[in-house]
Formats: sequence, C-alpha cells, structure tokens
Amino acid sequence: MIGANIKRGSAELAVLSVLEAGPLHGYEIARRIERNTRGALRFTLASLYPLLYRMEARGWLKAAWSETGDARARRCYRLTAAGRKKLAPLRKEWNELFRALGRLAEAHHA
Amino acid sequence: MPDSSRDWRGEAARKLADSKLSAAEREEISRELAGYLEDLYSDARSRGLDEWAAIKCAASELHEDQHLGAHLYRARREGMMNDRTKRLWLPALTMLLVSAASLGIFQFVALWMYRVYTPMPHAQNYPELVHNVMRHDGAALMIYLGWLYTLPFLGALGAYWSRRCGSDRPAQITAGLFPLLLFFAIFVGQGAVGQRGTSVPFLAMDVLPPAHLFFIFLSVSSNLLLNWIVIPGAALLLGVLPFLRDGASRANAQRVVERASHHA
Repeated sequence: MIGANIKRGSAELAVLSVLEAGPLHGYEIARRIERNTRGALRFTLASLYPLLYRMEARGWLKAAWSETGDARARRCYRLTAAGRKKLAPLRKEWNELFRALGRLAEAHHA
Repeated sequence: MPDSSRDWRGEAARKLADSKLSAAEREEISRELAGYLEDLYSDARSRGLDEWAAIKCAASELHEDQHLGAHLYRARREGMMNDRTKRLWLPALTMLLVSAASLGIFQFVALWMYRVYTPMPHAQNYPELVHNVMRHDGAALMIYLGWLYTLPFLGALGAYWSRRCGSDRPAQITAGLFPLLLFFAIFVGQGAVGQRGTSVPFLAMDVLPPAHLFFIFLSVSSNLLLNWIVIPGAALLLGVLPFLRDGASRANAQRVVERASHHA
C-alpha cells in the first residue's frame, strides 16, 4: 500500500492518465483509477472533487454536462490540450522520483 | 427507513449550505455530487449490499470531510491564478511596474531638488521646469545612474520570486528582464518625440548632455538604444544571473515536492 502523501502527490497524474483515453464523469474517474492501480489509489468524493475543480480551473480539464446511458445527467471531464501537454512531463517527473527512490532503497540494502 | 429514491441532491446542497460558494455554484456542485452519490449507491447495491448499507456507504463519503464546502470553494478560487500567472506574469508585471515607479520617483525627486536649490530668475511653468532639469548638466546623469543602480535588485527580485514559485529557467529570466518592455516603450517614445521636447518626465529625460565625457562616449555610441535598452538590460541581467546557477534543478525538485504535498 502506498503512503498518503505520495498518493496525494500522484493524484493529478492519476486523473490525467485515466482521462487520456476519453471523457469520464467523477464516479467513473474514481473507479477507473482504483481498478487500474489494483486498489492502491482510491479516491472518495471528498478527495476527488477538490482536485477535479482545481485541475479544471488550471485549464487542464474541461467539464460539460451530458446524458449517460440511463438518461441521467453527469458532468463529464475531458483533457484539454494544456492537460495533455502537462501529462508527459508529469509522468517523466514521477518516473524519475520513483527510480531515485528505488536506487536509494537498493543502496540502503547493499 | 432507508429508501432508494433518496434526495442526494438536497443532501449535497445542505452539506454545502455554509460554504462561501455562490448560489449558482452550490446548485451546480450539488447536482454533480448527487450524480456521484447515485452511482456509488447503485454500485454498492449491485455488489450485493442491502439498501441501508448502500446508503450508508454513499452518505459516509459525502460526510467524510467536515469542511467539504470550504475545500471546494478554495479549489475553485485557487485555480483562478494558474501556475503560469504565479510563476511568470505576476513577478514580471510587478517588476515592470516597480521599475517604472522607481524611474518616476528619481525624476520627481530631481525636480523637487532643482526647485528647492536652484535660484529661479523667473517663474517657470511645469514643462519648462522639466525641460530645464533634464538639460541641466549632471542632473540627468544623477537620475539615470541612481535609477540604474536599482535595476540589478529588481532583476534579482523578479528572478527570485519566479524561482520561489517553482518556475523553470526561461521563466526566471523573463520575469527578471521583463522591465525591458517598459524601457523599449521609452526608447520608442523618445525616438518618436525626438527633439520636439515634452512635458512628460519619462520622455523628457535626456541623459546625454554633451559636456560630460561619459555622455560624449554614450552619444558617440548612439545613445537611445544604449541608454534605454542595452545598459538597463545588462543591469537587470546582472541581478538575474546569480539565481540561474542551480535554478533549473531546484525548480524541478520544488515541483516534485509541491506535487508530493499537494492537497495536503
């Protein structure tokens, strides 16, 4: 299980990554992240929506109301060009961070 | 008794009632959160939870954060100033304004000193006064050099501010050198005004009285561009340079740390 701080820090990357495939509404975003990380990252309403609104205000996401299959209205989020642009360096930074931590852990065991 | 047609929208609206969100925002957010809660409830039911347990599951997420309304409000407002604004435009524009203000202050102080310490043979109107001060041997140089000494500090402050906000190297350089835009405007303005003279102190300042050796040198190497772009630019750059040594690596590190502690 990954610690709370790292989870929080990786939240933006998680949201941007799942939205890369296409637009999703809030609940789908939370479930998709949980499924794709095999339960390591789990968002609740209280942790997801402040993050989504912040990212929307920064221009990384755009939201619009749309009807779902069961005729219920949901606010769906999609990546903007700015969000897509943000994703690549974010991935790179996190990969670097985890590689560095890996090296640190190996050095500690050596 | 729990029921499946629970009013999630009303419950979400009550949860946000004490927040600073506007009525329209509260309405839209309640509607959105209600959708989430309906899906969560349906999902829980489809996983085999009874009605009461499914409602409890959804309600627990809604009430998990006591200050949800405040956090949502802050998230919306926080995002209004995006990273680029914080890291580039705010320090850059502030430095531009400060450099303009400092030039203005130096000029008006010189005007004041001239009025106080120079015996006036006849009453002078404001444009005449400005013209005389700026043409006065040494006065223009004093203003110019005094202002020039402030520029490395302004360049440094712009770059430091931008770096503190986690910007990359190009943004730090831009923030530090941004007042050059103002100098360029002065350069163009002075060129346009030419020898006709003006009562606007910024444009009236001619730093090149031919009597002074330093000015002769500057006059020969052609004055306006050198005075308003090259020398002030170099002074700003002087201030920016020390912040660029490990700027990029520090900025990257800060961004990683920022994200690691984001939403904490």
